[in-house]
Amino acid sequence: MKGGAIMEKLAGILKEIKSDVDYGKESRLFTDGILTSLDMVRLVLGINELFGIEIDPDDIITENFDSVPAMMKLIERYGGK
Amino acid sequence: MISIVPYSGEYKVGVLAVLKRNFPWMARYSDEWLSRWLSPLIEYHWADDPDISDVPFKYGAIVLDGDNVVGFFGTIYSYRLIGGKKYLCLNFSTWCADAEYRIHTFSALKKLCATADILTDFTPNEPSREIITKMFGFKYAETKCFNLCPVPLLHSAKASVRFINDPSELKDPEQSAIFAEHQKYGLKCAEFERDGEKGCIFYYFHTSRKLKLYRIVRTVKIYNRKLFTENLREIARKIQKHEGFFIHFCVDSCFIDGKLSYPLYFVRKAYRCVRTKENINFQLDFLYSELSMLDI
Repeated sequence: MKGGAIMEKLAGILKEIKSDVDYGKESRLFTDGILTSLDMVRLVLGINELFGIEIDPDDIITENFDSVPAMMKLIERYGGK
Repeated sequence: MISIVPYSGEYKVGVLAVLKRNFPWMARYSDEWLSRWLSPLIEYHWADDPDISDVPFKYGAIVLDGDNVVGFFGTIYSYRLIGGKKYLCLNFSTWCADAEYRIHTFSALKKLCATADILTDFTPNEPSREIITKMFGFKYAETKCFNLCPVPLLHSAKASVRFINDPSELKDPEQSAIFAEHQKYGLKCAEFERDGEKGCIFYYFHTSRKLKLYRIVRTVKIYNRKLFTENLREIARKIQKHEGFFIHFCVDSCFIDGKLSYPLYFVRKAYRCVRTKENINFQLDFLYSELSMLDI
């Protein structure tokens, strides 16, 4: 899947979780508490469903979810469709 | 550097601090009080302990950032005999992590979930419920708890209730062993009988931290649910006479056989979450959990 398509799907999930965040600018989404662990559940479930992957709980770490590029990298690593 | 390690006494001060940071009600109490409240959880010792001694995270798990405690997972391990086979059961209780470290909850839970055959969490808050049910395969085994208000009897009692002081008074070896293991943490036991048929109730007499008069009898396990259900009013009344005044007699609907016939009660949500390995027929009860040893 191309970066643009991943980005588009991911943006949809993130907007649904919290619409008033400028995801393009934020690089510490979880570190700074902009998103909570409850948001993380929705985010991971959304990613799993939309990209047809299953993210391992061991990969649910700040480095993989603090910014949109980090999430895209993770989805690409899992071969998201 | 984040790491997840088994609890040991050296982390106690850090655990108390992380609990106070994450549970507002705990912050209102002294370290000494909180330490006493928590002690059953981090020091419990079952009679069956030799078998559990090798279990990792036996007294809980700590999330460390370097040397700092930033999270705590209370764990209660026990063995359950089901269909003649022993299964290791892990009950989660009182788990939390500082906001910026909550993301590590997922890997910690994965690690802990791999250690047992039966996993339970009987008092999860909303975020915890979302995490364990949506991401870790827990199911709601129970969602309904009856809160019965004790009412006087208008007829002479038909059932007798005998309060047990010593495990040896119980003829059933399983019941006796359960009582022997739990009695030191405050669990109580009574046998009830009617027309030669017997049953047994294990209950925890919960006292509110704030209001000493607000006391609750929490049903933890029932033997002979039908007899219990049919004589609930008399049993509740006799426990009240024995224990003194209490506000509610709490019974999850899993302990009720048939339709509840009781004059005064209300129902509240109580989320009891369970995950088992395939083919384990786990009959829900709240033994070996915070509900049978802590004022929660």
